[in-house]
Amino acid sequence: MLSRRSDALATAIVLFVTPAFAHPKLVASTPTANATVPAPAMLSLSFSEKLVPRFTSATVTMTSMPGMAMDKPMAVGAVAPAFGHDGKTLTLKPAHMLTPGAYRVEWHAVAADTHRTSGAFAFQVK
Amino acid sequence: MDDPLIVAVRLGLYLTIGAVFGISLFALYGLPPAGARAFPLRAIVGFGAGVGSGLSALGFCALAAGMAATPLAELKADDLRAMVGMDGIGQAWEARTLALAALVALAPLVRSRRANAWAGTLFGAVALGSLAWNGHGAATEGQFGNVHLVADIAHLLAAGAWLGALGVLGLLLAKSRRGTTAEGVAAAHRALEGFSVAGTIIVGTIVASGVVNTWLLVGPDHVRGLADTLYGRLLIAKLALFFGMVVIASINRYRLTPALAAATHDPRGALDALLRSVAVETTTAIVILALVAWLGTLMPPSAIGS
Repeated sequence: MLSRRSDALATAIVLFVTPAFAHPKLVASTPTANATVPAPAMLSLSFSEKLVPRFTSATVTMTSMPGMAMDKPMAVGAVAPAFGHDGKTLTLKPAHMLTPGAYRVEWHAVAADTHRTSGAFAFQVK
Repeated sequence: MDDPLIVAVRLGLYLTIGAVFGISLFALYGLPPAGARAFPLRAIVGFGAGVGSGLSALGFCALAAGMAATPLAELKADDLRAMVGMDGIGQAWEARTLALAALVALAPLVRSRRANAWAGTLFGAVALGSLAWNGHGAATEGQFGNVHLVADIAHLLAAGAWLGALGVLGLLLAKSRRGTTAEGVAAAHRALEGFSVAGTIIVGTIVASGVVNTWLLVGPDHVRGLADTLYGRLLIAKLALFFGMVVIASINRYRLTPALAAATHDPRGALDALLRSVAVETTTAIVILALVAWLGTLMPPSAIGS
């Protein structure tokens, strides 16, 4: 009886507590990581936590284009970051239509727990 | 260690603000009049609050620099503005800054010892309690968020009360050891007696709030693997040191303090023993606070793998 009650309590506590400590993690993105897609008008990154806009951003670089060797990745000009209503989504609008090739998105994010996390993913435009 | 500067600043905040609160509180409940005259409360509170505000500002900038990933020297005003605007941590910093500024401003103005003790206790409690938002206490969301914050604040206040009492007792013992007047020894003895009940309440509060915090931060599922993580090993070291402090405190209370009362002719031996024991207890307390300062920058086990 007692053990069942404490099990239930432990479960309740773990349920309530576990998500809150997490650093912001990328849970989904458009385009999805490693996907090949038509040129997107908008990139969106969904995180697990509410973000602090000042300390959260992302950059997009082109890492290769078909039939042409690239010495180094090329930054995609003027991506304006914006945040969704829930505060958990970062959207980037490329200034120009993305031309076919491989791209890499590098992000860094800070949530209420004050830890800075970062990551990257790639996608292809066909 | 992620950032030694942040850990050092956190330790400095615990020490200075904890001492301001604990010493003022002790002056209210445990300091006999003879001891109070020998004790420069006003200077200690004013100075402690001044150093505390400097450290608080530095810590705030260091944290903002860490989040912006820029060197401290290149921190922008907008970074700080964003920090102040952050829920919880921003308001806590504002409250701490105001409380410490009030103490710095009041110290030269207020001459009454009692008024200073009250100011140091109340504003000190605000400043010390606000440090809960710097740690993991504020990171729990949902129904248990408030439980965790309250437990963290209780833990901080009780620890500050203990630290402050040790500081006062150490100073009184050192003073009476030097002069060894009957009055000084009696004052030291009364202060030690005065701490005996408070000490029990403090230890009880620390244990109870510590259990709640450990439950929330470590979690029942992670107890078995505690020694596998750095966080767990530091926590185990902290608990062992805390247990040591309780043992030393018991020896003080049940053996050394009665021995001082009994040694009416030559109290020097009893004073030396007490002074040594309070010094060891204080050193242990500082090491524990250093571990706490470090622990607060690490991921607790309940967060890993979530």
